[in-house]
Formats: sequence, structure tokens, C-alpha cells
Amino acid sequence: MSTDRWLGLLIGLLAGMFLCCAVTGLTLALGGGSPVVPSAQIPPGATLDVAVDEAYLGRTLAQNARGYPSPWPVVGGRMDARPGNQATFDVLLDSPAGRMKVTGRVSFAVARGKLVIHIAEVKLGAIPVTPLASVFAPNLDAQINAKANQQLQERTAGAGVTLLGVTTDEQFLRLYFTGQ
Amino acid sequence: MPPRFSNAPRSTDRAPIVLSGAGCGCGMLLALVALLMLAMLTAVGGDLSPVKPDSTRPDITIVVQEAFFQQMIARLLSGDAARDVTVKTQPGGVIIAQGLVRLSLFGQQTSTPFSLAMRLSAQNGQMKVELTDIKVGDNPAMSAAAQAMLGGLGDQASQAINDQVMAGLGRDAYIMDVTTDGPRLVIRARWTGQSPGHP
Repeated sequence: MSTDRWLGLLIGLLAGMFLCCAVTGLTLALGGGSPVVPSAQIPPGATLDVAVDEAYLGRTLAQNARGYPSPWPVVGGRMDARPGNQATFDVLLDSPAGRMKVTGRVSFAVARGKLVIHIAEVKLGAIPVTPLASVFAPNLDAQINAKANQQLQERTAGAGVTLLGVTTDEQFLRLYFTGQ
Repeated sequence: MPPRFSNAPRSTDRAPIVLSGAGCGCGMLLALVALLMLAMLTAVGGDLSPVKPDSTRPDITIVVQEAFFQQMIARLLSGDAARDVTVKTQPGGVIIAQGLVRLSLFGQQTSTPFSLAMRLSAQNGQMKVELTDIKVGDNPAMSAAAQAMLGGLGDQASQAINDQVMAGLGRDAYIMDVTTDGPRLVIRARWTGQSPGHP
């Protein structure tokens, strides 16, 4: 093969690698995570509030995560409530290469009496992969919200209550209701 | 006739361009694989430190305001049996409901003040409701009759509240305690079920 051809191949190879790294870097920089939801105030008119400990949230996450789309089985999970209507999560996946840890952040809000959970950030190890996560599991937010609201509805059906708001602090997710 | 403008000689060798395109594709693929490998390498081997179970810490704390009881009673008494009902919480898990009850005596409709006190507590992981005092009007005989009529109400209320709490928390819920804090009733519960996914 002539020198021109070798040079063309080499330049193409380097350009391709550079292009891929640049696009990946740009994607990660622009889509590294959603902004934090401003911390909500206790809604006026709330007459009943339920403070859920982060340990319980973690157990619920570990149980429910088995039903969510994942390339490898979920073997554990934990949640850590944070101020500002958010919580961080750690999920352990049983990948062929060994146990893999996925971390991230979810935000909470209430809209029209429904709990709205949004996956704001996902990291594979130290690398943010939020855009990739939305490509591999485009309906994950919708699935999580459907399941969470179904459970909430089942558990509050007899009490005749309406969800008004949600807040978080260092340990608890607090849900605020009013009687109908 | 010879062409007016002759084309300049052009190289027809497009191989370097094709090869550089192929190289570009290979380079992108290599970089993508390398990035994914890097991400996976940083993620593999992660573990979650075990959470120490703390049996004194509730999983769920339910705080019920007096206003909620008002709303509940207003919903339950949507008929005309009682009116002007107010609910107050007192120390020791005591709830007092007061209002006017409509009675029919000798064919005459009359409204008589009533007062009903109940104590909420936790026993063996379940909610227990005891009716501690019932007063209807100023007549002790009427209060005694009401006490006799409503004697079983505590058990029914206990069952109804337990059913609601169990529906809310699941069958493995364990009520740790029921206390009052100013105008609020505080129920603390723990979930005793084993999570299969928890390390």
C-alpha cells in the first residue's frame, strides 16, 4: 500500500477517535444531569404528613428495581434522602464482569395530586451516563412514576386523602396530604 | 473538431479518501469501546456497605393533625346525626370529640351535646383504640345507655384503623408507638418484612 493510503487511514483513524471523544465529552457536559428541583415548602392545607425513612426507600428501591429494564440483574439498592426534593441512589448490577455500581440522583415533585419522580442523573462508576440511560431505557421515568403512584393509590385509597406536596431533608421523604 | 476546453489531468485514485473514511469509522468505534470500557472499569467491583438494622428507628412516621380528624368526621357524618363536631388531641394518645348529637325522644327531635374520649396506643405491633368516656347531655342515664350501645365501638374502630394502617404499610407493618404532640397524633411504624433485594 502506498504512503498516501497509509496516511489517509491514519488521519481517518485519529479524526474518528477525536470526533468520538469530542462528541461524548460534549454530550456528557451538556447532558450530565438535570438541575436540582428547588426545595418545596410545606403546602398550606396539609393535615396529614407521612415521613418515610431513607432506609425504607432503599428497601423499596431494591425490591422494585427488579421490575425495571436493566441489561443485568439488580442485586441491591440503597437511597439517601437529600435536602432539595431529591435523593441519591446506588444500585448494584450483577454484570458478567462482576458487580457493577450505578449511582445517580432522583428528584421529587407533586403535580395534580400525583407524585412525579424524575431520574436527574445516572453514573456508571465515575462516568455520567444520563443521556445513555435515557437511550437504553427511554420510558424508565414513566414506569417508575406509574408504579409509585399505583402503590400510593393502593395504600391511601381507604383513607380518602389527596397528595398535596413533597419535601425531603437529610433523612426523610415527606409526603403531605389533606382529607377529601 | 477538437474540444475547445480540454480537461486538466485529474487523479482518479480515491483510495486514500475511502481509507481515511474507513479509518474514521474504525477510530470512532475504538474510542467508543474504550470509553465504555473505562466507564465499566470504574463501576466494576463496587459494593454497598451493609446498613445496620436499627429496630428503634421507625420506617414511617405518620403525623395526623386535629384538622384531619375534623375532615374525617365531617366526611363520616355527612348525614344529620351530629353537627358542630370538634376534635382535640390530649397527651397520652387521647382524642376527644365533642359536638351536638341529634336525638329523637318521645317523638321530639332534640340536639344534645355529647363528648367522646378515646385513647390510641400500640399493642403487639397493632393499633388499639379504647373508648374511655362517653357523655351525652347532662343525664347520667343517657350517658350510661350510650356507653352500653357504643361499648363495642372501640374494637370496631381498632379493627378499622388497623385495616387502614396495614393497607397503607403492608401486612408486615409493626406499629411501634402512638403518641400525641400538641395538636398532632404521631404514629411510628416499622416494616418487619425482609427485602429480597437488600444486601
